Amino acid sequence: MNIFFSRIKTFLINQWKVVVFASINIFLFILPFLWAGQNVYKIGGDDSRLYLYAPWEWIKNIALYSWYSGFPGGFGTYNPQFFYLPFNFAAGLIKSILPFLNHERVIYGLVLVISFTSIYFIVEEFIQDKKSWQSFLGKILGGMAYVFCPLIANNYWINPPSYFFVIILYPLLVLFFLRALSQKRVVPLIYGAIASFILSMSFFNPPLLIPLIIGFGLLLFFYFLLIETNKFRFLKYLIIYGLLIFLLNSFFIIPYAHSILSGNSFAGSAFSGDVKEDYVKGGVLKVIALSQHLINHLSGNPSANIFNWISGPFNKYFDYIFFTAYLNLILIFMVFGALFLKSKNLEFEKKWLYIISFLILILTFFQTVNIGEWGEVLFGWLVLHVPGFLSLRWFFVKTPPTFVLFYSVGIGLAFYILLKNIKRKIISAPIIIVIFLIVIIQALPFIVGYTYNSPIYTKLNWNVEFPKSYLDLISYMKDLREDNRAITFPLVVGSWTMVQSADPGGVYIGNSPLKALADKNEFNSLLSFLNPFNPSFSGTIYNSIINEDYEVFKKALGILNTRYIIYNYGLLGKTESDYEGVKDSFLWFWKVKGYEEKYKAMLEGVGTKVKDFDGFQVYKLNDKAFIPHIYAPQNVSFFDGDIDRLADILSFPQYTQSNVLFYNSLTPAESTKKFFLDGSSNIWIMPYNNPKELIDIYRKMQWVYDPGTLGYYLGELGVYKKALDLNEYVLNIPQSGSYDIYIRKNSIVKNNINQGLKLCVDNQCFGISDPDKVKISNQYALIGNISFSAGGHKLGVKNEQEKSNILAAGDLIFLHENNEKQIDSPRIEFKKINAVKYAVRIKGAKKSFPLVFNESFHDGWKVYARDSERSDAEDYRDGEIAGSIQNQGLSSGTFYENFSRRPIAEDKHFLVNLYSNVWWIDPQNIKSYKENSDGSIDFDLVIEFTPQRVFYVSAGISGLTLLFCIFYLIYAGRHRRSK
Amino acid sequence: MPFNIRKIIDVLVDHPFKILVLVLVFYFIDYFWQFKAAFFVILILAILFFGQKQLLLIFGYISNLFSLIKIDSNKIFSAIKSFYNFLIKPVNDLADHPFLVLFLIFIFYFIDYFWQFKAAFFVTLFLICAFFRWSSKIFLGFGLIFIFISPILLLKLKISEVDIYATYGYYFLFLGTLLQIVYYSRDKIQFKRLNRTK
Repeated sequence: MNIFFSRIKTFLINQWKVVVFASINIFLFILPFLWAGQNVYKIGGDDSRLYLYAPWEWIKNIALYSWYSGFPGGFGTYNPQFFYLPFNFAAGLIKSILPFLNHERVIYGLVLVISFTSIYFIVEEFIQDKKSWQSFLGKILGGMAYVFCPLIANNYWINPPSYFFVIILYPLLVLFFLRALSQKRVVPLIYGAIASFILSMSFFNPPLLIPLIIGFGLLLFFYFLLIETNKFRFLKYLIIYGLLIFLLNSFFIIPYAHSILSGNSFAGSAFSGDVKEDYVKGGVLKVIALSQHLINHLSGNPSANIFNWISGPFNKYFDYIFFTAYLNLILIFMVFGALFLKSKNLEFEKKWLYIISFLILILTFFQTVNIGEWGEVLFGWLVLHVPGFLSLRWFFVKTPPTFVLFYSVGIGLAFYILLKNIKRKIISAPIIIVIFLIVIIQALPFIVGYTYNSPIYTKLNWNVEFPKSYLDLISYMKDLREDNRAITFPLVVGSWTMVQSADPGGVYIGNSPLKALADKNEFNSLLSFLNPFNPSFSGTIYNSIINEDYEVFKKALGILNTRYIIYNYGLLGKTESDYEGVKDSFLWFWKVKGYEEKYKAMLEGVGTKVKDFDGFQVYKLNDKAFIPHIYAPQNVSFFDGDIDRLADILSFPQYTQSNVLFYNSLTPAESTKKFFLDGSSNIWIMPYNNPKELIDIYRKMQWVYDPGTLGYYLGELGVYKKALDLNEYVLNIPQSGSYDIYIRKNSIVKNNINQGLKLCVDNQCFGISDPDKVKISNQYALIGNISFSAGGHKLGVKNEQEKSNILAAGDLIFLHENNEKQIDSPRIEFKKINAVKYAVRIKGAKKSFPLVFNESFHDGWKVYARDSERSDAEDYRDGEIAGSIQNQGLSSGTFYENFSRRPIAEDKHFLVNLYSNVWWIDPQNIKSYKENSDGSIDFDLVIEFTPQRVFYVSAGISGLTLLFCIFYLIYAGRHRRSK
Repeated sequence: MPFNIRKIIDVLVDHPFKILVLVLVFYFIDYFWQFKAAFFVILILAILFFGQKQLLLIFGYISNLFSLIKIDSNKIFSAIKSFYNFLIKPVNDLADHPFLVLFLIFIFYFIDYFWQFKAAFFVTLFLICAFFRWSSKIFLGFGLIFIFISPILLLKLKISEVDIYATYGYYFLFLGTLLQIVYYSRDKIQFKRLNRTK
């Protein structure tokens, strides 16, 4: 026994460094498991961590496709999400291999271990005497200063993945390049490139990458200038590293670049937006004072000074941090103070410390952007003048990973120099204890899990355990396998779904779990109705709910392909104290007393309840309102008027689910306009709210209420008379014919009905009777009929005194109906193969017909004719609605089946329904079909989002590079061993 | 370099035309532009006309004052002497490089005029130090002092002054580290040249 203990003792004495290093790593790995319960996941927030919660589902439903419907909402956009793939694969493996552990916590443990170890070895690269105890302690301190730096620990652990994982990615990128240079080997470069590949979702984050490029770029520049003796090798390694990283990550870089360059992409619109000066002056661009950075920010409490709107209870750790802030200054003094110490035999380390200190100062500038007046001015100028620079706003949030990287390396290096300068252990021992204590005391809120459980930025607890009833709801939706959308009430601010956690106090607020886990596109907020073309849906939905106009509401949901309505009444049942301030901040409408009755009326007004989970009710939209994802309409409605008047048209009984709506103002091409006019069975004309002739005058005038006419006129500046003349609108009639005249009941015209109003068209006037007598819809009344020839006509509404009234948009609607132009549409069967591919079977096509695809319009969507000889199974979902039914039995085909085919109807691909695609399919152009006894034909089509092919090519490049890297590593390993 | 007022008067008497030109230029610039500009231009022209040594006689006079202190080897006076040396070295360095001084004055005025005094001060100081290889630790020392003062002021809640001190501290630290890197770089180039000559 004694021998055993003495051996252990000998081992501990001889190998104390290994023991300490291993102990710290084990402690760091275990640490996250101590923070919260086994079933609790930290998900939610701006960019939720559902990808960690369910990695395989995330790959299957989101990460494999360039068409993304998760954010901002139910509408899809060309917004590739491929960068998640490698990490999700790794996370999925961890989850599958260790099902008994909370895999999120395993990953967090790995984050701590890898980041600590990386900094440990980076510090080693800057020290020549690698084996001394001083160098060991310097390295340990550097690593601990990094993982425990409050700037990272308090702030970065609650950030989205693209932010969070740079904590490990950046040290690895720096370490492997430095190691390659010092070892004069290519192998570390391959490791570094593979690290960038696995953490690609964090690698591609330009706002964070820029500080790294600045910091690491300068480090390499000084390395090249002052250290490197073989310049050629340095440049060679740099090129190899850059190339490997690019090739390995090309699987997402190339598609993303393609999406930005092609029109109508999410990223493209973010980059091209005009930046207003208000952003610079207002809240978007914020800077912090240098002193605040040194004192508060560096000790992990930026919110105390930057977010003025956070005060009082939000500054959870303020008292604690205020105390540690001054301790933190000791570390700063140590870094710069070490520059004064003697440098006998430490020239190499001193040189590096000077370089690192310089980098710390450079990055400090970017942290604050506020050193001297010029810094702020320069930054503001860049935001205003450089496209996309706005993404660098709040730079103090973007710089920390790079800043803390060099800061902690500086701390480690300075500590080493300090210890080397102290000859007597009696002096060095207390210094070691004090410095390590400072690092640990600063991070105590993080170490004990307080930061994790109670993030600094928010009152909300984002530690979530989804309640069983919600998971049941997800399973229910998943099992339905129906291709349609859902809407969740109550609508939430932002573009988020909100779900109460089974863990008391926790709440999920983030990207749609319905999308991520059940592949069901969901509208969850007014913001999620913003489609790439205009904001009319959010206005239509909002107004119809507020006005309790459920007829319009359900038709709008129908056009949006929304079949299911999820009512999260459990959330509304919570009291204010359950989620501090949540109700005010997040839950949207009908928070007032009696909201439950209003919800009930709304839901029963539009659908029927199909399922009731504990806290969640599921309603199904009425069959007569719902419009399938893919359908062939029988009527084409041509509309010429203001873009935001969708609700006006939907209020008409003539507008049914068999319609497709063409907005003239969204399509400038005359040929397209003519094409739709010729095929339209309904033509809706609405005088524009702002005719071109009036716009210039509007800008100079104000509306003035005239008690004499009980109406409004454009007063001021003496242009009243001119406005009167112009009030005779020019009504452009696109097609001659008989038009019914409808008047809006709550219009100015209606309100002045007792004034003896007359509608004057081309100098011919006729009286307007009381609209209430002839009701057509809730909103409109038929007042007469008029024959128009095509072309411009003067239109005005006058009272007895011959004074004109200004017409508001939607006050008057002219409708021409021609039932002869109804289309004999075929029956449609369709299947969603995946987010970028749909199989369609056309049955009984005789003449050319429109095929509507209710997904956001994009040129990348193409239709291909498919071989129709196959006999597919029949697996019908939901019922047949508007001549269309979902058939899951249709063949999925291969991902490359259309590579050699030419798309059909490319010149007949248009934007309809404000967001959808339509193709005019001519059966004459179909080569492979089955002929029916009545002469009609059946044939198969595939709708495909072709930019997805960019991914296939780029993934091939990445895959080949990865194989090459693996083979090279095997070869290099064997070669080294044989040596 | 004894201070001699007579010599200065001689210089002035010997060059009446140059003096006249200087006065006219001064008056002209002062009248049509500003006093500060007139002063700098005249300073530059005076160095060109008379050589810097005569203009820097004033420094020599200070030197004489310190030389009076050479009484004995008393430690206090020895310390004062080293301090004097510390002060006079920069003066001597400057006096030995008239055209550089001219250039630096121009740089200072240029930055001051088009930007601000603070920037002119720091940039000129950096250039002087870099040229004469004055120790970077001077900057670092000042920097740490300023950084040290900032939190004390923050404790006393003198918020408006804190950032001024912190910013000065930052500038000094920045220039100190950059200066040392410039020296390292210069040394490396010189080392290479030395190797080549060998």
